[in-house]
Amino acid sequence: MSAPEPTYRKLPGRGLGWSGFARIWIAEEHLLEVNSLLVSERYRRFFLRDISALVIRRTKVGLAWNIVHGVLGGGGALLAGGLWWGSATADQGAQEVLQVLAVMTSPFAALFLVLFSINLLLGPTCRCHLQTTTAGWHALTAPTRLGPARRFLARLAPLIEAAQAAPAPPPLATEPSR
Amino acid sequence: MSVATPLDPAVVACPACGFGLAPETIRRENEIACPHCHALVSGEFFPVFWSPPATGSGLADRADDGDAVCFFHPENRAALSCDRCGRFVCTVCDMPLGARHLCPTCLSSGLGAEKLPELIVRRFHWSNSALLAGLLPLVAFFIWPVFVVTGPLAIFCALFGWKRPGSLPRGRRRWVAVIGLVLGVVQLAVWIGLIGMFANLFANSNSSE
Repeated sequence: MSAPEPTYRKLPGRGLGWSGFARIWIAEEHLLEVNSLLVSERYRRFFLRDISALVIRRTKVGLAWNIVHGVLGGGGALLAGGLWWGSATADQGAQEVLQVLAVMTSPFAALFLVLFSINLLLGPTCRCHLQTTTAGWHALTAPTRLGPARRFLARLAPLIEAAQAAPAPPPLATEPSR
Repeated sequence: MSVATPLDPAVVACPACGFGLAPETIRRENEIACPHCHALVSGEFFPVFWSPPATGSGLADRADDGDAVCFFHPENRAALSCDRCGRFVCTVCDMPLGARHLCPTCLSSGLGAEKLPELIVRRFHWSNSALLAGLLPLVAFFIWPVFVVTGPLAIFCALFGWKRPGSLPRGRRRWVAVIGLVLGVVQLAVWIGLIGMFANLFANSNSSE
């Protein structure tokens, strides 16, 4: 006699980390953090009645990625441009080599510039921390971008308040029939 | 440096460094900087933060005559009934699981065989495994000897996992298993075809000699 599985709805935001893709879902009375890695999923639950605080902390992960992608993309583009420009003044044999090198460098530069643009468009990064009455702070694996994290909190806050406003089950007042 | 304890309503620990922050200064709309680590934080505190639920003494009340008693401790007054089996339980035997209250027997019976969805911590996706095994030859054609295994593996995963539970939030996705099954059958057919072709060639070369 297994109990029916609850119905879940997606909450805004997603994350990507060592434990795979992360997403937060909500059921009637709890949050479900799902970390999926190709063929398996791991779950963590946080009951709405137990959540005492939800804090969003800005991180510098996005900035670090922007620096990496920017340096590699910008550096690659400069290198490709320099090689192409250098081929114009080089002699016949070196000209072909420099042009081939420029053509080989430009796709890598373009790839990193695309990644740089995507990261820029996704906005600043953050980490969501959730405090429960029983076990202190928990770092959530999603959402990891500030915009979705704010929408996540805006959608979740009224649900948590409603769950915590609901009365606790009444104590027994009747005699047992044993 | 003042380090906050986890559930002290006067201060809240900075999630980055543990430094005590005043919770009333943290709002959803505007970010504040932690004075110690300078992390920018915003957020919201909920009713249980300001008035934590009473944890109780951990001891059950003794039952008087005519009181409902605990199923497991007949000398204790019953506080609740199990939401699953209906047995009366005292505060010692009450096992809260979110909004539900279970008795120890129902909790332990739900731990083993995935009977209680609240206790499932991991699921294996047979349908995704079938799809992965089915798709492998398309993305990694350079490891072709492995494909003698991936075809049957895709078929096995699709059929074995057909009635197994799928993802907890997404449910069972049989279309994924069907694609894996089809790809597995195609791989197997290609292998059978290749073996047949080589056997034919071998037989022809032997007969010509």
